[in-house]
Amino acid sequence: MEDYTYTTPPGYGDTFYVYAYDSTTIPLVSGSTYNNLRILINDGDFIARWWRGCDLYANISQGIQIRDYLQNPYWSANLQPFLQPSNQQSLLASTGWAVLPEKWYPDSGYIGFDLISALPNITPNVSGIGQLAFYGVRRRKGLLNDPQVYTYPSYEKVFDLQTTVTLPTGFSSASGGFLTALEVPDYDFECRRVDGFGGSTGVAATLSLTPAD
Amino acid sequence: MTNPIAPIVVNGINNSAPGGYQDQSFTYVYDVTLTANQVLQGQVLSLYTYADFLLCAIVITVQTGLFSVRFTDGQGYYLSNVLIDSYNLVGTPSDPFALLPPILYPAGGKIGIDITEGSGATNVIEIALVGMNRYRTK
Repeated sequence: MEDYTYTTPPGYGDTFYVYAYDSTTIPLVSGSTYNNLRILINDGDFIARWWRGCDLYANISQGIQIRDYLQNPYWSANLQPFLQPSNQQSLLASTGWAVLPEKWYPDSGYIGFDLISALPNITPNVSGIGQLAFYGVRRRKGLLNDPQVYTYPSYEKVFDLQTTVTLPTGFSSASGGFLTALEVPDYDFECRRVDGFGGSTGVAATLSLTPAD
Repeated sequence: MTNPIAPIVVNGINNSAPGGYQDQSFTYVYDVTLTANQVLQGQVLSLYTYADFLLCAIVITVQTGLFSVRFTDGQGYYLSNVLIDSYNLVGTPSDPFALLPPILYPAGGKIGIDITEGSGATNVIEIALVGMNRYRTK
């Protein structure tokens, strides 16, 4: 594949980030329609490039509309990829939706969206569904892009870091999260992909990464 | 620097609109419920008048059975010689059925659709026509 170098505006740096909306933390009444729900953007602009979260029945609604920073809709009509169980295409939505070209949201703005005929997941979110996640980058003035340019001679080798986390009995997302640390031994490490495999009880857990500068 | 493990859309793609235009991601949605073996010809999806539309891909987001479909370009010419089975338009939202080169529809234009139910039962269908609104900036 031909090399392609993405350029950011002069003086700004991009770092990976995900904004998510969790239906289990905000009580939704089944069957109700919620207009202009929001995920607030803070600590820098946000560039949305990919979103997902409408792949399973009893996800957060039967229909959805997402809006850009000017409140213009992503689609000409509400999308209904949740429609189940007879929809033969619904599982394909598990790959998420590309946003192309990417959508820019300003700092202190928000990602607005409508949920049509809510189908809130049970609480707590034991099945690991019921969440909208927007993937992209934070764009901040005066910061460097990740990864930063090396100032020393180096070369790269593929390397996997693995860890196993045991959650306390009765733990739920309402407990405020479970922080664990994974040591990076010997060499600098660029994180390029995260895979999580199911728990021993078959219950999925949510995962987020925190840079340790 | 790009991440070679990530799809190119996640790495970021700079705006490639021609001079004097700006592209914004947009999707036209076509919803229809067909009765068993129903044939609908000459359906029209009217486009907004404020921007041209660049059709880049098709995603069938809802179907409860087999159907076949055919689209037209902005001048009313068919994009296939016959109706195409929905199972031959397979794609996922992040890896959709791509149209290459993309098809440009003028602002206020129409996308023509012929569609036929093929499962012998009521069929709920939603087709996402994925692309970009191309706004004139000058």
